[in-house]
Amino acid sequence: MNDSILKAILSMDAYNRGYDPGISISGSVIGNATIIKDSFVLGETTILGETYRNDQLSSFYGIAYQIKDTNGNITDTVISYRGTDDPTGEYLFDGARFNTINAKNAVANSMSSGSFSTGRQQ
Amino acid sequence: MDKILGFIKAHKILSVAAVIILAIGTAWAMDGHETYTWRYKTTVTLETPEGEKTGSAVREVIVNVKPYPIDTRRPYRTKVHLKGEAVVIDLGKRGVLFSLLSSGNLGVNHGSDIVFYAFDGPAGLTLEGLKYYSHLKDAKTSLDPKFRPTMVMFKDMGDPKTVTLAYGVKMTSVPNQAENQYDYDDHLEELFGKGVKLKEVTVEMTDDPVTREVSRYLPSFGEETGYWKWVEQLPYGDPLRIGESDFK
Repeated sequence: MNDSILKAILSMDAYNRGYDPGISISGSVIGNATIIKDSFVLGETTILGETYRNDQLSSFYGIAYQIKDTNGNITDTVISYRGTDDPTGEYLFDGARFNTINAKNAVANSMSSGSFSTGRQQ
Repeated sequence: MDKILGFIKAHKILSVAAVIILAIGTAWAMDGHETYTWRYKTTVTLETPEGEKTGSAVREVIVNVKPYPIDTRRPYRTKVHLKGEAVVIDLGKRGVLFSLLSSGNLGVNHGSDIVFYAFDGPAGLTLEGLKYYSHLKDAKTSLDPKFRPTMVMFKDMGDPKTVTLAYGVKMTSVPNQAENQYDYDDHLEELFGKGVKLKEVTVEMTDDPVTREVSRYLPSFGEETGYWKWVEQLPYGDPLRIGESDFK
Protein backbone atom coordinates (compact mmCIF):
# COMPACT_ATOMS: atom_id res chain seq x y z
CA MET A 1 0.00 0.00 0.00
CA ASN A 2 1.19 3.48 -0.87
CA ASP A 3 2.68 5.18 2.20
CA SER A 4 0.60 8.35 1.77
CA ILE A 5 -2.62 6.39 1.43
CA LEU A 6 -1.80 4.37 4.55
CA LYS A 7 -1.15 7.54 6.55
CA ALA A 8 -4.38 9.08 5.27
CA ILE A 9 -6.23 5.99 6.46
CA LEU A 10 -4.50 6.14 9.84
CA SER A 11 -5.45 9.80 10.19
CA MET A 12 -9.10 8.75 9.91
CA ASP A 13 -8.67 5.70 12.09
CA ALA A 14 -8.32 7.85 15.23
CA TYR A 15 -11.98 8.79 14.84
CA ASN A 16 -13.03 5.16 15.03
CA ARG A 17 -11.10 4.07 18.12
CA GLY A 18 -11.29 4.69 21.82
CA TYR A 19 -14.25 6.44 23.39
CA ASP A 20 -17.08 7.77 21.20
CA PRO A 21 -15.91 6.05 18.02
CA GLY A 22 -17.46 7.03 14.71
CA ILE A 23 -17.88 3.42 13.70
CA SER A 24 -17.25 0.23 15.62
CA ILE A 25 -14.31 -1.65 14.21
CA SER A 26 -12.11 -4.38 15.59
CA GLY A 27 -8.50 -5.40 15.18
CA SER A 28 -5.25 -3.58 15.73
CA VAL A 29 -3.51 -4.01 12.37
CA ILE A 30 -4.12 -1.86 9.29
CA GLY A 31 -1.95 -2.81 6.35
CA ASN A 32 1.57 -2.91 7.76
CA ALA A 33 0.70 -0.58 10.66
CA THR A 34 0.10 -1.99 14.12
CA ILE A 35 -1.47 -0.06 16.98
CA ILE A 36 0.97 0.16 19.86
CA LYS A 37 -0.61 2.63 22.24
CA ASP A 38 -3.46 5.06 22.70
CA SER A 39 -4.28 7.93 25.03
CA PHE A 40 -6.04 5.64 27.50
CA VAL A 41 -2.62 5.41 29.13
CA LEU A 42 -2.97 9.05 30.26
CA GLY A 43 -4.94 7.69 33.20
CA GLU A 44 -8.05 8.89 34.96
CA THR A 45 -9.40 11.56 37.29
CA THR A 46 -12.17 11.19 39.86
CA ILE A 47 -14.54 14.14 40.25
CA LEU A 48 -17.37 14.02 42.79
CA GLY A 49 -17.34 10.23 42.87
CA GLU A 50 -17.37 9.76 39.08
CA THR A 51 -14.19 8.63 37.36
CA TYR A 52 -13.31 9.95 33.93
CA ARG A 53 -10.60 9.08 31.43
CA ASN A 54 -8.18 11.99 31.23
CA ASP A 55 -8.20 11.99 27.43
CA GLN A 56 -11.98 12.17 27.38
CA LEU A 57 -12.00 14.95 29.97
CA SER A 58 -9.78 16.93 27.60
CA SER A 59 -11.90 15.97 24.58
CA PHE A 60 -8.77 14.50 23.05
CA TYR A 61 -7.91 11.10 21.66
CA GLY A 62 -4.56 9.99 20.28
CA ILE A 63 -3.33 6.67 18.96
CA ALA A 64 0.14 5.51 17.87
CA TYR A 65 1.06 2.96 15.19
CA GLN A 66 4.28 1.22 14.33
CA ILE A 67 4.93 0.62 10.66
CA LYS A 68 7.09 -2.30 9.63
CA ASP A 69 8.66 -3.26 6.32
CA THR A 70 8.34 -6.69 4.72
CA ASN A 71 11.26 -7.94 6.81
CA GLY A 72 9.56 -6.93 10.02
CA ASN A 73 11.83 -3.96 10.70
CA ILE A 74 10.20 -0.91 12.24
CA THR A 75 10.40 1.86 9.67
CA ASP A 76 8.13 4.51 11.10
CA THR A 77 5.92 5.51 14.00
CA VAL A 78 2.71 7.38 13.23
CA ILE A 79 0.57 9.28 15.72
CA SER A 80 -3.00 10.01 14.75
CA TYR A 81 -5.23 12.18 16.89
CA ARG A 82 -8.55 13.95 17.09
CA GLY A 83 -9.94 16.63 19.36
CA THR A 84 -8.50 19.89 18.14
CA ASP A 85 -11.53 21.19 16.26
CA ASP A 86 -13.54 22.16 19.34
CA PRO A 87 -11.18 23.74 21.88
CA THR A 88 -13.96 24.16 24.41
CA GLY A 89 -14.68 20.46 24.22
CA GLU A 90 -18.31 21.20 24.82
CA TYR A 91 -19.89 18.94 22.24
CA LEU A 92 -16.95 17.24 20.67
CA PHE A 93 -17.30 14.00 18.72
CA ASP A 94 -21.02 14.15 18.84
CA GLY A 95 -21.13 13.79 15.10
CA ALA A 96 -19.06 10.63 15.32
CA ARG A 97 -21.23 9.14 18.04
CA PHE A 98 -24.35 10.11 16.17
CA ASN A 99 -23.18 8.07 13.22
CA THR A 100 -22.51 5.05 15.35
CA ILE A 101 -25.78 5.07 17.14
CA ASN A 102 -27.87 6.21 14.21
CA ALA A 103 -26.73 3.42 12.01
CA LYS A 104 -26.55 0.93 14.88
CA ASN A 105 -24.90 -2.13 13.40
CA ALA A 106 -25.40 -1.21 9.78
CA VAL A 107 -22.22 0.85 9.63
CA ALA A 108 -20.12 -1.82 11.26
CA ASN A 109 -21.58 -4.30 8.84
CA SER A 110 -20.65 -2.20 5.84
CA MET A 111 -17.12 -1.98 7.23
CA SER A 112 -16.90 -5.73 7.43
CA SER A 113 -17.74 -5.96 3.74
CA GLY A 114 -14.53 -4.16 3.00
CA SER A 115 -15.52 -0.52 2.48
CA PHE A 116 -13.56 2.03 4.49
CA SER A 117 -15.63 5.13 4.20
CA THR A 118 -16.21 6.78 7.54
CA GLY A 119 -19.07 8.99 6.39
CA ARG A 120 -18.38 10.98 9.51
CA GLN A 121 -19.93 14.34 10.25
CA GLN A 122 -19.00 16.90 12.85
CA MET B 1 -26.40 47.98 63.64
CA ASP B 2 -23.40 46.13 62.15
CA LYS B 3 -25.41 42.92 62.22
CA ILE B 4 -28.27 44.54 60.34
CA LEU B 5 -25.90 46.05 57.73
CA GLY B 6 -24.19 42.67 57.36
CA PHE B 7 -27.52 40.96 56.88
CA ILE B 8 -28.56 43.48 54.20
CA LYS B 9 -25.20 43.08 52.43
CA ALA B 10 -25.44 39.29 52.44
CA HIS B 11 -29.01 39.50 51.27
CA LYS B 12 -27.99 41.74 48.34
CA ILE B 13 -25.19 39.39 47.31
CA LEU B 14 -27.55 36.42 47.38
CA SER B 15 -30.13 38.33 45.36
CA VAL B 16 -27.56 39.27 42.71
CA ALA B 17 -26.34 35.67 42.56
CA ALA B 18 -29.92 34.43 42.15
CA VAL B 19 -30.54 36.89 39.32
CA ILE B 20 -27.33 35.81 37.56
CA ILE B 21 -28.23 32.12 37.89
CA LEU B 22 -31.74 32.81 36.64
CA ALA B 23 -30.39 34.83 33.70
CA ILE B 24 -27.96 32.08 32.71
CA GLY B 25 -30.74 29.48 32.96
CA THR B 26 -33.10 31.60 30.89
CA ALA B 27 -30.42 32.28 28.27
CA TRP B 28 -29.66 28.55 28.11
CA ALA B 29 -33.31 27.66 27.59
CA MET B 30 -33.98 30.48 25.11
CA ASP B 31 -30.92 29.48 23.14
CA GLY B 32 -32.67 26.21 22.36
CA HIS B 33 -30.74 24.03 24.78
CA GLU B 34 -32.63 21.00 25.99
CA THR B 35 -31.83 18.16 28.34
CA TYR B 36 -33.14 14.61 28.09
CA THR B 37 -32.74 12.13 30.92
CA TRP B 38 -33.59 8.52 31.60
CA ARG B 39 -32.65 5.84 34.06
CA TYR B 40 -32.29 2.16 33.52
CA LYS B 41 -31.65 -0.79 35.77
CA THR B 42 -29.38 -3.55 34.58
CA THR B 43 -29.45 -6.90 36.33
CA VAL B 44 -26.99 -9.76 35.95
CA THR B 45 -28.23 -13.23 36.88
CA LEU B 46 -25.89 -16.14 37.48
CA GLU B 47 -26.75 -19.79 38.00
CA THR B 48 -24.74 -21.28 40.84
CA PRO B 49 -24.91 -24.58 42.77
CA GLU B 50 -26.44 -22.52 45.62
CA GLY B 51 -29.18 -21.17 43.34
CA GLU B 52 -29.54 -18.04 41.25
CA LYS B 53 -27.50 -15.00 42.29
CA THR B 54 -28.18 -11.53 40.98
CA GLY B 55 -26.70 -8.07 41.10
CA SER B 56 -28.20 -4.84 39.82
CA ALA B 57 -27.26 -1.24 39.20
CA VAL B 58 -29.37 1.77 38.30
CA ARG B 59 -27.73 4.26 35.96
CA GLU B 60 -28.79 7.65 34.66
CA VAL B 61 -28.10 8.97 31.19
CA ILE B 62 -28.21 12.74 30.69
CA VAL B 63 -28.09 14.16 27.18
CA ASN B 64 -27.69 17.89 26.62
CA VAL B 65 -28.74 19.17 23.22
CA LYS B 66 -27.69 22.49 21.77
CA PRO B 67 -28.55 24.09 18.43
CA TYR B 68 -25.93 23.81 15.70
CA PRO B 69 -27.54 25.59 12.75
CA ILE B 70 -24.37 25.54 10.65
CA ASP B 71 -25.08 21.85 10.01
CA THR B 72 -28.27 21.88 7.98
CA ARG B 73 -28.52 18.09 7.88
CA ARG B 74 -28.47 17.80 11.65
CA PRO B 75 -28.80 21.27 13.20
CA TYR B 76 -28.02 20.28 16.75
CA ARG B 77 -25.29 18.67 18.81
CA THR B 78 -25.51 16.44 21.86
CA LYS B 79 -23.37 15.80 24.90
CA VAL B 80 -23.88 12.57 26.80
CA HIS B 81 -23.15 12.08 30.48
CA LEU B 82 -23.52 8.86 32.44
CA LYS B 83 -24.08 8.59 36.17
CA GLY B 84 -23.74 5.10 37.51
CA GLU B 85 -21.50 2.17 38.13
CA ALA B 86 -20.67 -1.46 37.44
CA VAL B 87 -22.95 -4.22 38.70
CA VAL B 88 -21.60 -6.14 41.68
CA ILE B 89 -22.57 -9.80 42.03
CA ASP B 90 -21.36 -10.96 45.43
CA LEU B 91 -20.98 -14.74 45.34
CA GLY B 92 -19.81 -14.97 48.95
CA LYS B 93 -16.90 -17.37 49.37
CA ARG B 94 -16.69 -17.85 45.64
CA GLY B 95 -15.73 -14.20 45.15
CA VAL B 96 -17.11 -11.01 43.68
CA LEU B 97 -17.97 -10.53 40.02
CA PHE B 98 -18.09 -7.07 38.44
CA SER B 99 -20.14 -6.42 35.32
CA LEU B 100 -18.52 -3.30 33.88
CA LEU B 101 -19.73 -0.09 32.27
CA SER B 102 -17.92 -1.18 29.11
CA SER B 103 -18.28 -4.05 26.67
CA GLY B 104 -16.44 -5.66 23.79
CA ASN B 105 -19.11 -4.51 21.38
CA LEU B 106 -19.86 -0.93 22.51
CA GLY B 107 -16.56 -0.17 24.22
CA VAL B 108 -16.53 2.50 26.91
CA ASN B 109 -19.87 3.85 25.65
CA HIS B 110 -21.71 0.70 26.77
CA GLY B 111 -23.11 2.29 29.93
CA SER B 112 -24.55 5.32 28.17
CA ASP B 113 -25.63 3.67 24.91
CA ILE B 114 -26.91 0.20 25.81
CA VAL B 115 -30.54 1.32 26.02
CA PHE B 116 -30.40 2.27 22.33
CA TYR B 117 -29.42 -1.28 21.45
CA ALA B 118 -31.56 -3.08 24.02
CA PHE B 119 -34.89 -1.70 22.83
CA ASP B 120 -36.35 -1.18 19.40
CA GLY B 121 -36.86 2.49 18.71
CA PRO B 122 -35.53 5.49 16.81
CA ALA B 123 -31.78 6.03 16.58
CA GLY B 124 -30.53 7.12 19.99
CA LEU B 125 -28.94 10.51 19.53
CA THR B 126 -31.55 11.95 17.18
CA LEU B 127 -34.15 14.32 18.63
CA GLU B 128 -36.76 11.67 17.88
CA GLY B 129 -34.69 9.06 19.70
CA LEU B 130 -34.02 11.28 22.72
CA LYS B 131 -37.73 12.03 23.11
CA TYR B 132 -38.54 8.34 22.74
CA TYR B 133 -36.01 6.96 25.23
CA SER B 134 -36.60 9.72 27.79
CA HIS B 135 -40.30 8.78 27.86
CA LEU B 136 -39.89 5.01 27.61
CA LYS B 137 -41.59 3.31 30.58
CA ASP B 138 -42.32 -0.26 31.65
CA ALA B 139 -39.80 -1.66 29.19
CA LYS B 140 -37.63 -4.63 30.09
CA THR B 141 -35.57 -6.96 27.95
CA SER B 142 -32.90 -9.61 28.14
CA LEU B 143 -29.82 -8.42 26.29
CA ASP B 144 -28.74 -10.11 23.10
CA PRO B 145 -25.53 -11.92 24.18
CA LYS B 146 -23.43 -9.86 21.77
CA PHE B 147 -24.29 -6.73 23.81
CA ARG B 148 -23.41 -8.22 27.18
CA PRO B 149 -20.92 -6.17 29.21
CA THR B 150 -17.40 -7.22 30.05
CA MET B 151 -17.18 -8.97 33.44
CA VAL B 152 -14.11 -9.19 35.65
CA MET B 153 -12.99 -10.29 39.11
CA PHE B 154 -9.94 -9.58 41.25
CA LYS B 155 -7.94 -12.61 42.35
CA ASP B 156 -6.63 -10.42 45.18
CA MET B 157 -9.26 -7.85 46.22
CA GLY B 158 -6.46 -5.60 47.49
CA ASP B 159 -4.50 -5.51 44.24
CA PRO B 160 -6.05 -4.07 41.06
CA LYS B 161 -3.29 -5.69 38.98
CA THR B 162 -4.90 -9.08 39.68
CA VAL B 163 -7.95 -8.12 37.62
CA THR B 164 -8.99 -11.14 35.56
CA LEU B 165 -11.44 -11.50 32.69
CA ALA B 166 -14.45 -13.56 33.73
CA TYR B 167 -16.71 -12.98 30.72
CA GLY B 168 -16.09 -11.03 27.56
CA VAL B 169 -17.50 -10.59 24.09
CA LYS B 170 -15.03 -10.18 21.27
CA MET B 171 -16.31 -8.52 18.12
CA THR B 172 -14.48 -9.20 14.89
CA SER B 173 -15.23 -7.64 11.54
CA VAL B 174 -15.31 -10.33 8.86
CA PRO B 175 -14.49 -9.27 5.29
CA ASN B 176 -17.32 -9.84 2.82
CA GLN B 177 -19.79 -10.74 5.54
CA ALA B 178 -22.66 -8.54 6.59
CA GLU B 179 -22.64 -9.59 10.25
CA ASN B 180 -19.70 -9.21 12.59
CA GLN B 181 -18.42 -12.30 14.31
CA TYR B 182 -18.86 -12.52 18.08
CA ASP B 183 -16.80 -14.83 20.26
CA TYR B 184 -17.59 -15.37 23.91
CA ASP B 185 -14.76 -15.66 26.38
CA ASP B 186 -16.38 -17.36 29.38
CA HIS B 187 -14.19 -18.13 32.42
CA LEU B 188 -16.93 -18.06 35.07
CA GLU B 189 -16.70 -21.74 36.03
CA GLU B 190 -12.93 -21.65 35.99
CA LEU B 191 -12.83 -18.64 38.34
CA PHE B 192 -15.90 -19.15 40.56
CA GLY B 193 -16.32 -22.94 40.53
CA LYS B 194 -18.20 -25.63 38.67
CA GLY B 195 -21.82 -24.82 37.98
CA VAL B 196 -21.40 -21.03 37.96
CA LYS B 197 -22.86 -19.83 34.69
CA LEU B 198 -24.21 -16.58 33.28
CA LYS B 199 -27.96 -16.87 32.80
CA GLU B 200 -28.84 -13.43 31.49
CA VAL B 201 -28.31 -9.70 31.61
CA THR B 202 -31.46 -7.60 31.58
CA VAL B 203 -32.09 -3.90 31.00
CA GLU B 204 -35.20 -2.24 32.39
CA MET B 205 -36.31 1.40 32.30
CA THR B 206 -36.88 2.73 35.82
CA ASP B 207 -37.35 5.80 38.01
CA ASP B 208 -35.37 4.28 40.89
CA PRO B 209 -32.44 6.28 42.27
CA VAL B 210 -28.94 5.77 40.87
CA THR B 211 -27.11 3.11 42.89
CA ARG B 212 -23.75 3.69 44.59
CA GLU B 213 -22.44 0.37 45.85
CA VAL B 214 -19.34 -0.53 43.90
CA SER B 215 -16.77 1.60 45.74
CA ARG B 216 -16.86 -0.52 48.87
CA TYR B 217 -15.86 -3.59 46.84
CA LEU B 218 -13.11 -2.01 44.74
CA PRO B 219 -9.39 -1.99 45.44
CA SER B 220 -7.54 1.30 45.20
CA PHE B 221 -6.28 2.14 41.71
CA GLY B 222 -3.92 4.75 43.17
CA GLU B 223 -0.38 5.45 42.03
CA GLU B 224 1.02 3.40 44.91
CA THR B 225 -0.45 0.22 43.37
CA GLY B 226 1.51 0.54 40.11
CA TYR B 227 -1.71 -0.23 38.27
CA TRP B 228 -1.26 2.23 35.42
CA LYS B 229 2.27 1.04 34.68
CA TRP B 230 0.91 -2.49 34.59
CA VAL B 231 -2.07 -1.69 32.39
CA GLU B 232 0.07 0.34 29.99
CA GLN B 233 2.03 -2.75 28.98
CA LEU B 234 -1.09 -4.64 27.93
CA PRO B 235 -1.52 -4.75 24.15
CA TYR B 236 -4.10 -2.53 22.48
CA GLY B 237 -7.42 -4.39 22.33
CA ASP B 238 -6.77 -6.46 25.45
CA PRO B 239 -10.10 -6.64 27.34
CA LEU B 240 -8.23 -5.95 30.59
CA ARG B 241 -7.12 -2.51 29.43
CA ILE B 242 -9.61 -0.99 31.85
CA GLY B 243 -9.51 1.61 34.57
CA GLU B 244 -11.60 2.77 37.48
CA SER B 245 -13.89 4.55 35.01
CA ASP B 246 -15.08 1.15 33.82
CA PHE B 247 -16.39 0.57 37.34
CA LYS B 248 -17.80 3.98 38.30
